[in-house]
Amino acid sequence: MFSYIVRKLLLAIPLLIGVITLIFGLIELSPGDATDRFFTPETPPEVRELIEQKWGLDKPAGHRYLLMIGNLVRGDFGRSIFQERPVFDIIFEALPNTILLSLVSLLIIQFVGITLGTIQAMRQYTPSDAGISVVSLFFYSMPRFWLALMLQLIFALMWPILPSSGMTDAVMHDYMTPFQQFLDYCKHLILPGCALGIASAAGIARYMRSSLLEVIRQDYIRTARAKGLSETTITVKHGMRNALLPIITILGLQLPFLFSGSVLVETIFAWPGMGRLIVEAIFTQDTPVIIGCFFVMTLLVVAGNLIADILYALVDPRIRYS
Amino acid sequence: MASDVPGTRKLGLVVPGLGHLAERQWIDGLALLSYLGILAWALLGGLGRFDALLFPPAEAGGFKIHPWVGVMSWVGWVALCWFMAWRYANPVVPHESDKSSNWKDFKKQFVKNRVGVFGMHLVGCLILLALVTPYVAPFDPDQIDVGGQRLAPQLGYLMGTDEFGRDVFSRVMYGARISLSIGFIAVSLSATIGTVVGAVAGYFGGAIDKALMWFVDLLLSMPRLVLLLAIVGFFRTSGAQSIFLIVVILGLTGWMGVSRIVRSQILSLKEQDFIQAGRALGLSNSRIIFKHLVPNALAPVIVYSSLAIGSTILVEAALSFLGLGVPPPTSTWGAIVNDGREYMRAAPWITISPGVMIVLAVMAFNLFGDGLRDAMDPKLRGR
Amino acid sequence: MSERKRLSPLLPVAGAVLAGLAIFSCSGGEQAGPANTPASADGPRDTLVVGFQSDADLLMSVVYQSASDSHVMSGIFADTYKATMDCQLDYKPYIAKSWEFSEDGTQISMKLQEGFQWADGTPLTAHDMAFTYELIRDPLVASPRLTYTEYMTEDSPVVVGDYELLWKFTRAYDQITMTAHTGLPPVPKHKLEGADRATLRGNPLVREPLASGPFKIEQWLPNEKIVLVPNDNYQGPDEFKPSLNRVIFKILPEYATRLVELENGSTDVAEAILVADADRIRKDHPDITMHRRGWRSMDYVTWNQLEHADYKAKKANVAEGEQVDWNDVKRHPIFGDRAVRRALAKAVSVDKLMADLLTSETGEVYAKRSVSTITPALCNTHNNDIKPMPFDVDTAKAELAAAGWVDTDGDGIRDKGGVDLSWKLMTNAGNARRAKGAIIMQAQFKDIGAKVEIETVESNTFFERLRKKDYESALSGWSAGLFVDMSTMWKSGDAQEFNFPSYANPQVDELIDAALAEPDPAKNALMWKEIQGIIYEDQPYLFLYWMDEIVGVHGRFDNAKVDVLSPFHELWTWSVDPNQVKYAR
Repeated sequence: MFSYIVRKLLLAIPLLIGVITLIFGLIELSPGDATDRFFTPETPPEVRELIEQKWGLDKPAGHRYLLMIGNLVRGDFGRSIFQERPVFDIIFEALPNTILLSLVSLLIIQFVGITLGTIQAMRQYTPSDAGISVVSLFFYSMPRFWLALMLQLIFALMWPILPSSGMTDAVMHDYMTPFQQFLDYCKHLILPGCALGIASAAGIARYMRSSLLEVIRQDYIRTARAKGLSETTITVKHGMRNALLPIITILGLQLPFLFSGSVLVETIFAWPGMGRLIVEAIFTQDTPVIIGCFFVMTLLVVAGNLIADILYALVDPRIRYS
Repeated sequence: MASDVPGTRKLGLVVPGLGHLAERQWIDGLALLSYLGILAWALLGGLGRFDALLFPPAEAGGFKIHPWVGVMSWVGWVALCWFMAWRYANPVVPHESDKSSNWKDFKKQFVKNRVGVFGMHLVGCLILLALVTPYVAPFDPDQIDVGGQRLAPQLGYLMGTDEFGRDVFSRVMYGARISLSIGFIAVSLSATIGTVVGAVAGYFGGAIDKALMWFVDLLLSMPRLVLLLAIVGFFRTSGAQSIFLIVVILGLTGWMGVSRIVRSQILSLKEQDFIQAGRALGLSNSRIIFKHLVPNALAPVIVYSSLAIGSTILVEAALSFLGLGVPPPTSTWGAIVNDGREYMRAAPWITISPGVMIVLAVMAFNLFGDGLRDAMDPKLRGR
Repeated sequence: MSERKRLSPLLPVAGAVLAGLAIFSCSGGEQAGPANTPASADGPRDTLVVGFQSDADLLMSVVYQSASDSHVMSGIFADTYKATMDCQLDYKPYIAKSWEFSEDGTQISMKLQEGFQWADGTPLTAHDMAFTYELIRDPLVASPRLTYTEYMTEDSPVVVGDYELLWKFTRAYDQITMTAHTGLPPVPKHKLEGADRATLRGNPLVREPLASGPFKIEQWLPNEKIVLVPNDNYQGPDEFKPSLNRVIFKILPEYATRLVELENGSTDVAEAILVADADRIRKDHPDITMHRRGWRSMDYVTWNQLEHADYKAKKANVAEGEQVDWNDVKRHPIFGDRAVRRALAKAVSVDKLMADLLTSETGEVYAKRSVSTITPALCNTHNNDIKPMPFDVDTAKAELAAAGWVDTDGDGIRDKGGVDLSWKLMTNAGNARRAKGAIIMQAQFKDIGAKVEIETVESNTFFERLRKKDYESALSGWSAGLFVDMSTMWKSGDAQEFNFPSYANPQVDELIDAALAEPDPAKNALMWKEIQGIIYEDQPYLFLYWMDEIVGVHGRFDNAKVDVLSPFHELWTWSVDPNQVKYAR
């Protein structure tokens, strides 16, 4: 088990380096520079040189690449060209917010998706199966940003029962009791969490349904039925354990989609997370922030996959002892 | 045997679809009627405008190809509808000695899945609408002040008007052509690249395989939208932003899934007898790959691709929404949603309408793709 | 089947989420917990919530860039002057108690108010001011305010005493502008004396400023909100003591969200409200007051009088930093001709543009015809006598024909010497108003026999091309400058970076120099007026309209100051009647 984890970790390193190299290459190829905004037509050449030196732009690309890798390894992400403060600070201010949102979405995805998929499998070919399928497909086919806009329109504009933006109540949050604060967070998490998670939940429901159906057809289920166990016990206790295996792998793979989705959802709900950060960084061509973000994102994806692998191994003993 | 065919089917020769409906073939019947409906709409919509559309004066820009494409598709589609009705009324009797081929089996299996067929017809309707758009859309999509600004949806302005006074329905129709084209072309590109990469990796194995698959994993670990943002965002100011660039970049970021599928197919096909035989005969590697292996691996690629069209439309919409998609004045669905963002309070229909279309289109491709996949899945045969 | 414990993947995730929420509930952000605001003697005070377009970055006067920065800074830093606007910029005492111009106008002796101090107790003195300008001058800092010191001597300002300064200039120019140039809020010398100049923007003081003004920052959650509370260390004059408990800048980048939050009461102020929404809000929410800020920005069409391809070629041949002599460059066949420009101006109905683009459904017009790049808000300097070009299609046609533009080949487009009356109109993407305006003008030009092709270009590229004069005509806009200096736009020569139309009129060049050298505002106003008149006659631009900016403020705020200078000006005067207080904390 331990060696399994170590092996996976080692494989992650070339992946990280690969991603960083790719992004660095893209940035090098692209025209323009964030430092352009410091220059006016009248900026004297000595000042130009000074500024370039400050940002290390006077060195050749290869040299800068190695420096960057070296710094990243030591946890030094450099300074944002736009805000001139450590990229590390900027990213780690935004990161917890995105992680919170992603975890909540994952929770929604899991609960809603798995439950629906199970119901569908148990009631295969009944109207509820078909009904859930249609609704599922409907949300699965919806662009996440459009769902976010519609949710905002319905639940914050037409029917103002939920907040339309932000993580907390801007005015009163600090004056609330801890319990009220907890509720405040929950209230603000509902709309963005749903916007981010529903589409994937629908996908999981579909997957869960087919996975469970496949499992149910197998022999040991027939044995359980022959033993006289109730349908629910069979499905939930025996069927699900095995049907969940592919779902777990998928969960790990959800992370890249969650990041993509968070870019849009965070923008619409003014959520101060990494999605928004990376969009702004790309628009302002703030190189250190972009590289830092990709690095952290890839780390998280790798971590997510690793957790999925570990969970998979825990649930399926065949892997553990291989 | 021919007398077994009910005479009511002949109704279809008058109006395609009626024959199917008479036999309770609801989906096929309604589909044919829908096609006819759209074709009739196009005809009525075009009345009085044919001259202007097909032979526009020089100052309006001269020759345009879309109206001609529309006319030709109209004719072709009408013929197809009547052919299907006729075929239904005079079905081909399967002969005992006819060999069953994979393709025939597949067709039979697919037709059994009514949901898949429904998806196929939905896609068909969308494509037909896109082809005859110049006749169906009441206004030019860029024409301003067609009746008033920010009008709510009403007769004459089916989806309302936007802040410029442009008809949203016309814009959404023309947007359909662009979004669907981008979807098709980008996915074709992805499929091609993915097939080549997957075939090479699967066939040659070893270091090449490992290297290629490592690269695939690399790209897959990056969120597609973020990667697209990075690429388009970086090269935005170079003035190269255009619809071609977007399509190419979408194609370049979507091939990974295909390559994996092809690779696993090739891996399983590689050891089969007919390939060994080919090698023994001294056929060149590329011949073996492209003439013998790949054609057999294509089936899952097609399934994947039809599902991928849906996700490509979604991704392109997201890009346009962020302002990094196809540059104006071409308007894709995502761009129209973006246009309407500021007016969510004053005129929500500007954002709602294109969104609904996106959902419909993606649903259609998903249903169709699911149908294809179920038809190809041997485990589901004989159900 | 053995009953192995099933490890549900749900458990760890659920646990993580609950843990996360618990952590978040306990922590409060950058600075935990609000200070206990003392109850005011005159009853409960309120909180003002402002919808901000973007987060502040750099809260230091020497290096700040964005509007958000300046809004926050005006609350937390004491300014040298209190600026008001009544037909011209008027400066009232703030830190500067009194100031006097010397006889020859090249010196200002200034006395400072004693009593201002930094939040750590250190008094704010003339040394801080002098140090501030030292920083501005230092090239390592690369301060955007460098131009303030353009005409100051190397040692200016000279510290005469702890609360007395002498500003020395190399020449006298408009006194209001001179005053403005001395008005950059001071930075704390004792904190920044040893700081590294090259990385000044990264100095912690930029994100955690030392307040000197009526408010101070209590909490700054990046990209979420900035909370200001009254600065209890403030020792200055009473007139600046705030009457609110808190001011919260809530960061909402989306316009639609800002609007929603204004309407449902989550925020109290929203700026830049679209005309389309103004009426609706007025009708649906009578408790929200719509303020008009005044003529802050204008749209115009610029005609490039030089043939841009030829200009580009000549520019390429010239050494970097050297200028191209415009006399060597070919003139544009259409726009190089003054008579044609004047004719084209008559072909466009600016009234129609204003009606279609900037008039609400109830008929309220939020625009005014523009005749100058000087805002009408500066009513002393703006030439109010200029008669705008009439909308007269027939005269336009006649004048074009007289200039030699006649349709000789019957294609509906006028031509002259083999060249069609046809051009590209460049405009920037993402601006709905200008996009629509371009289409309207295109149709109007078609009526007089001109063919216009609209070219929509991405914003950054758009400005690049304007600066490089790589365009034929462009629909663009200006934001009103509150200092009158027409040189960068209207003096001839490559050195003027904003002279997009390649305008060259030697008489105007002379007059501009003279006006810039005249210190007396009343006298130089006359000169500026004359210049505006000449420019309007020359029609280097097709002057379109000035736009009024609409700001929505919740009605419970008395003394809500919304003007040309700021959408939420002088926040320390805003107050709420005790009976209408919404947030008691």
